[in-house]
Amino acid sequence: MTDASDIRAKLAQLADAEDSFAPARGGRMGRVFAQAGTSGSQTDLVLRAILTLIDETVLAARLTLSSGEDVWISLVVEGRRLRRIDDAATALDAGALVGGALEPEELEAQSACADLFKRFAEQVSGQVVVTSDTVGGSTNRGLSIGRLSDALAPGPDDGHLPPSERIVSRCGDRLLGAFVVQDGRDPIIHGDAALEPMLEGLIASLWADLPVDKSRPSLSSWLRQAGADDGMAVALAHWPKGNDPTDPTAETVMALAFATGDAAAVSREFLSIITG
Amino acid sequence: MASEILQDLTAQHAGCRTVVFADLAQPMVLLSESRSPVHRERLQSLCLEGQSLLTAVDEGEIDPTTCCDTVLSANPDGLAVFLRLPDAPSDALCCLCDAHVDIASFLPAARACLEKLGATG
Repeated sequence: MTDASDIRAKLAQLADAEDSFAPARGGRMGRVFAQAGTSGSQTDLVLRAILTLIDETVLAARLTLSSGEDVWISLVVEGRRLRRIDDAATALDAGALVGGALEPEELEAQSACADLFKRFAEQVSGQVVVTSDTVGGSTNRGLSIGRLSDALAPGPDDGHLPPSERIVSRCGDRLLGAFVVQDGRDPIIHGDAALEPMLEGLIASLWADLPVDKSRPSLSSWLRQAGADDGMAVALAHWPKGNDPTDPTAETVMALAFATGDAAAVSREFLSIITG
Repeated sequence: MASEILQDLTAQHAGCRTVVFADLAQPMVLLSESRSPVHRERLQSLCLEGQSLLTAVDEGEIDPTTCCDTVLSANPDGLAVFLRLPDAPSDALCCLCDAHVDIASFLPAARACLEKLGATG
């Protein structure tokens, strides 16, 4: 026998739930996942909401994002990766992206996906809703939200600078100090001069025997994670010949110091430079 | 139980491709979990890399209250993360991640994973 007070409590809970629902394309109801506006920051909110949707989708699903009948896009997502653009409104001009395989190495497709999402985020208005349908798994590897994020917000245009200056510039105040050695040149010191002997010593004592592939750029960071968030981390960066646009014959070794809490951000900037 | 701890880490962090629980004293692979097949030799070389990098800045006897317990090693293939327990420094976790892994959220999760594995040992 059903307890009426139980049902009322459940209905009240549903009414209080954070999720809200609104009409989606094709007369269905969809979950509201973003509220669009007209400012640039609200466009960014829609883009971030799309990336969150992808990141939260583990099982293979077709997600149809829509705002009214005319602005919609249908994605196949699995394992937190965008596997395919399934279809899109004509006004979004998805072109050859529709149905094509998405692979991490295909930079043009990543950039085209980012542009498509930007057009979608610019054209939506009011409530943006998502409906989900089950689909079969996809064989292509798809794009992670990290790659999509980078394509949506490319790094600064600093490719003409020496790599050590790019990392100094991108890390900004996070870098406590740095010591840069390039063959045949005087060392360059950034940040706190008091750190210079320690950083110079780090290169002298560690670089020669460091077990990294010295034919490719690398960054090795040492830190104390357990119970010491306010400590200092040190790192050695290396760019072999051919990585400095101002001097292709130069090999660069750089010692860096930063707060332990900034280790993730510094590694992220380095990876962005060498994989961008 | 221990294998489930590794599986949870890779399941919760899409950017983590391979994780190895290793004994750095030998060094040897104790347990591994990977999204795709990885040769045993590659796992073993990952352990050796972890041993060399984690001990590179040690000076004499390890002080568990101050020693380095984490190394991040980035290159164009992605990010390798090596963790050890300060009070049992031969217990280590060696992880291979995509370049786009969310490092800030992965590091504490990997540390918690290693602590659980250390407690089960």
